[in-house]
Amino acid sequence: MEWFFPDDLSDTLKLLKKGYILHSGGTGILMGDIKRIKGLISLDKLNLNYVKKEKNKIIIGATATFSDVIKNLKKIEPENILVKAISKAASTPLRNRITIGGSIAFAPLWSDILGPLIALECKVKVIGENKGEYKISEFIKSPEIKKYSMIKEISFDRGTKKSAYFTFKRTSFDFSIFNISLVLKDKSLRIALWGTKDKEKRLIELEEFLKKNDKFDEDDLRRFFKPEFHNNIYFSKEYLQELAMIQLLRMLNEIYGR
Amino acid sequence: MDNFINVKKQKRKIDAIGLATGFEKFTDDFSFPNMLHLKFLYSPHPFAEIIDIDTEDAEKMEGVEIVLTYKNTPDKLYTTAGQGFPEPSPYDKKLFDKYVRFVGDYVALVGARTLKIAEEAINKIKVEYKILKPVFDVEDAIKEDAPKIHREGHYLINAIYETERNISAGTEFRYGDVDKGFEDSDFVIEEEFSLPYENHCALEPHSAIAYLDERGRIVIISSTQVPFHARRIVSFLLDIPVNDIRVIKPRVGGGFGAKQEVILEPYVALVTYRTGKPSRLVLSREEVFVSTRTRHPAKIKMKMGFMKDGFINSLKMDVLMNAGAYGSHSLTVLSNVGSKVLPLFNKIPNILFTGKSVYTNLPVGGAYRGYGATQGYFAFGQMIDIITRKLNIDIIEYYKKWHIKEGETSPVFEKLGEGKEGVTQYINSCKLSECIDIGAREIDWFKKRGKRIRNGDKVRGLGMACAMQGSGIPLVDMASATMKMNDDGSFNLFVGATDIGTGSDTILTQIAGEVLKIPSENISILSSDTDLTPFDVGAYASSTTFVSGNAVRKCAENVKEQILNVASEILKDEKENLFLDNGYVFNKKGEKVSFKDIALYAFYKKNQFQIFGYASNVENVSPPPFIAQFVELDVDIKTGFVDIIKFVSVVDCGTPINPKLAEGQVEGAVLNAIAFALTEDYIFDKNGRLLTNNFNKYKVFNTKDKPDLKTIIVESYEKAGPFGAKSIAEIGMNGPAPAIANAIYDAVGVRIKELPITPEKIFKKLRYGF
Amino acid sequence: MRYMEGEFIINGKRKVIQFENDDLLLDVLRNNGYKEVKCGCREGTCGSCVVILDEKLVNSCQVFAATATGKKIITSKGLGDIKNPHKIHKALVDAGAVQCGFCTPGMVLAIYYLLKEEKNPDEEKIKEYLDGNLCRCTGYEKIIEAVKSIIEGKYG
Repeated sequence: MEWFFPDDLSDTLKLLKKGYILHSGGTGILMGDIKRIKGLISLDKLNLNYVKKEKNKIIIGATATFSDVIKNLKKIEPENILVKAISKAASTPLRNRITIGGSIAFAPLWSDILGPLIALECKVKVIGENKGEYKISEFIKSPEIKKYSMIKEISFDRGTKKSAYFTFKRTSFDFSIFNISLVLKDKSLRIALWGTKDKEKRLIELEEFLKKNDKFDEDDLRRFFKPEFHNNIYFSKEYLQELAMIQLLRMLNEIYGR
Repeated sequence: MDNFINVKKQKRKIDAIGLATGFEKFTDDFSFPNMLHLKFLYSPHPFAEIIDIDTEDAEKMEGVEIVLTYKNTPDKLYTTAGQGFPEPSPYDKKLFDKYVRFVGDYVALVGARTLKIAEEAINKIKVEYKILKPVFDVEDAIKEDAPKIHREGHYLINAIYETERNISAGTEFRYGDVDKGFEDSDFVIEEEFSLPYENHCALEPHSAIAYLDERGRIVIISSTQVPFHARRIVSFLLDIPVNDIRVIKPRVGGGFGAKQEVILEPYVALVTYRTGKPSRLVLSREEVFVSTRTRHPAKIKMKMGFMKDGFINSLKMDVLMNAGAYGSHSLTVLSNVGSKVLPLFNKIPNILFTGKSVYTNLPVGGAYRGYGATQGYFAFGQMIDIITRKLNIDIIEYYKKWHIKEGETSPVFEKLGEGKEGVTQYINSCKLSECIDIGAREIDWFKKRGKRIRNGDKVRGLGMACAMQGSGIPLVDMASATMKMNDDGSFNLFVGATDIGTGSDTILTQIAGEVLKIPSENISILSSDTDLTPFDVGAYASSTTFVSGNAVRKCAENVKEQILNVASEILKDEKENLFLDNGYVFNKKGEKVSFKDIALYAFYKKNQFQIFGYASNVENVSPPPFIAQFVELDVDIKTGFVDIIKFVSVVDCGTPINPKLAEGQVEGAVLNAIAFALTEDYIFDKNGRLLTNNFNKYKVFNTKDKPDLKTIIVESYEKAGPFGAKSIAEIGMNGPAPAIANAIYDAVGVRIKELPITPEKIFKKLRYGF
Repeated sequence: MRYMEGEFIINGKRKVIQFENDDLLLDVLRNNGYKEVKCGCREGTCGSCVVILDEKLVNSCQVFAATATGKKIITSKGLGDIKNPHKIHKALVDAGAVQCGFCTPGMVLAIYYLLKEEKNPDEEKIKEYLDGNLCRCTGYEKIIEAVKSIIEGKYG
């Protein structure tokens, strides 16, 4: 295994073309078989760990750690769902290593931030062979984008009025079994469910229904909310479905002030 | 009003600063030149016969020095259980067997220059298995047509052992006539409870190092609770005289029973013996989960017949315990399910306690804090709640009325011992009723219990449970101590007693210091080195304060006598006129001589001798500590989530020698037990492979999970104990699970009889009734 | 196996160490005398191995040594020793918060990190900063008491 410490983005991209793997926090890499890795490209020198506001957007660099994000986002937009979600993720020392870019590239089923980023309609700026700005849902669905390319930064609109985040874990320091994100901006409510088999993580039909209907009850939600959970060794799919339904209803009531 | 200068004082733990700064050493903090790193090859099958092993490619690798398999290791049967000899556990295990009996059983061991090389070499070992049909369920395992997991095996003692039916242990205790008792009862209830595997999760993984000293003796440094048992068992297996082996226990990063076992020591000793080189074996977290020891899972059936006034007329308790692939501790844990639970309500006239421990092709059960009592109290504690609700009696008053009292005994004490007959005893000290009253006040029992106070979708519930444990094993556990005086009036204390983080080193100096009326800081202690310290069974059965503490007390008395003899010579006064105070011996006239001058006199001046004390101690009683534990929690009626609001433990441990250390024992046990009640679980795939094999999957509590904990010590004075002390190490584990189950019932009318109590189980019962 | 050489600044001392490319910082530290950094799980889940790396609390088992060269590392021994303990060491000892001690060097650093980052942390904040350090002995009760005693000014 060889190490590379490129000084700038263009060197980084050249190394990517040789088939080496990006290393930001490294926690994801350590979960796999490191013996098979030919080379690691450290992103340390690239100064991609910024969290900034630019006009009506918030921009987060790929190597910003979970701690970087919470600390800075709290100052810019304390109501932001990422603040809530990240504070429930992992543990203090891990939040100091896990990066936004790494999490999105890896997109594990048990992540606490993918759902919130989808609800925020986050955009992913990619450089390299597949240069471009992608909606996050598109990025996650298309792993081929990552070939010889890297995430430089992500961005999403400011102006969250209200947000709610629920993550189902057995204890505080646990993987997320599933999570629900609600983000209310202006008049539109975005709902994302992460941790299921469903290809589409946004509950678009439900969002549409709620746009047109002030009142709603459990039966209404059941019509649009039919998540497909994976087999889980700790909980049955039926329970997870019911639990998700109950929590979703609660969160909607909370957002709508009921 | 006591005049203690050491006992009950908040003395700092003597190794605390070294541990906090990182200077104290654990086993893996030692390293030796040319040390070989060892790695096991584990079985991927739950049950198989090894037809052949080819280690040639592994042995040829650069850096590999030794490969051990059944072909080149002693064929002896033994038990890994760290118990006194003859062990009350079956000899059913070999260093390497031709059969593998669970996924994670040992197949081979490689010793290499680096761990990486050893790991690679493991992959080069070729094994030909004949796969056999496994059995995972205890009820299936005792059937006639079940696969026989053991062909060989025997106990050294008289014990029930039927390999034909996979029975690794059996027990029975009869008193009166239970069937008639049920007939005569006004009410009869029958329930079944079950508990899963649990892992100790000591932060330090099992570790052992061995090396040959300058005289060719094998020195083993090990993270052990039982250094002397380790020495004896290594000697037996390797056929090397005990005197050629030295076992040293350094700092140990937690045991809780996981290390009351001689697991790694024989392997490092054998490698060092054969290669002449130091060897190191430190398990990974996954290896600890799969291949060391666990709490025995158990299914407990309880049937109780009782009268309208609450009198329990008849009790039948049947335990089906899962021993796992080997039987270490499977008899003694089984016996303790009855022996530590049944005496609590000692007036029951008809009792039948039966139990079996059964072999399965799953990970191995062993000692775990509570040791059967924890399993038994989960059942018993709920039965009492059920009875009192049925009769509309206040459970607080019920416990206070019926628990064993000072001056009383129980027929269980003499019948159920640790694999043999027990010992009759009478309770000298018991403040359980006071504990119950204090706890009820602390948790605001009468205001909140049964009120089902609502807060949105959350309902508040309160539950409680009482328990007792023991203090050492009477007539079995032996401890000893030696003590010598130094020129400056200070002392060296040598004990076999094993400090595994409990602080026994500290409290034993407090006891010795109290006898000699000097600050404990003037006593240096060295413990658990089989060459330098006298014998002690080790840290288990909550024995150290009581059994080892009394040995130290007697030893210090022995030293005191010698000091007084010398002082009498110096002061030219009768011994009867002398007394000790703060490092001096005074006579009634006010004349004094310092310990330092006494020591100098004895070393150098006249009638010279080394002031040296010695004592051994065996107890014929095991005075139980008592605990009342209360929990306040919320249940979310829609999701089944449980939030523990407050947990109160009120414990009678006799005199707390060191109050903060005593509280700490309860606090740690309680948080462990709450996690056991709610989240800890071993889940296997259909081939018996453990899926929950690391901290990511097996959940223990962190700081955020910790509820509000309150621990109160109520002092009784146990006259048999050193300065009135009993014990406190295990008892905290017994109350939380039944108290939580009872509180959930209080909140939402749903009773969960199977651990862990997950939100889904509550949800299902609330919604569907099952 | 490929070897690298790097300079680490550990507890204020510059050390040039040779290590393998895929070595973890945990192993480089332990193999070079820093035995106070413990190994409990090697998966970032127990916190026994935490160090302060460039002012941040991290699990040293989750950091490749190659990415830690040129950086400042602090371990518990760097804060104090038996003769001159740090106030965090003293507080833990006085509170009775050290039982087996295996988690303690890591806990010390988590507390150090907390006190550096937060001015007047309440109990919830204390629990948050220590949430990556498992302890099976103490139930965390006296550890949290110790931290509170420092915040209340008992140690100056």
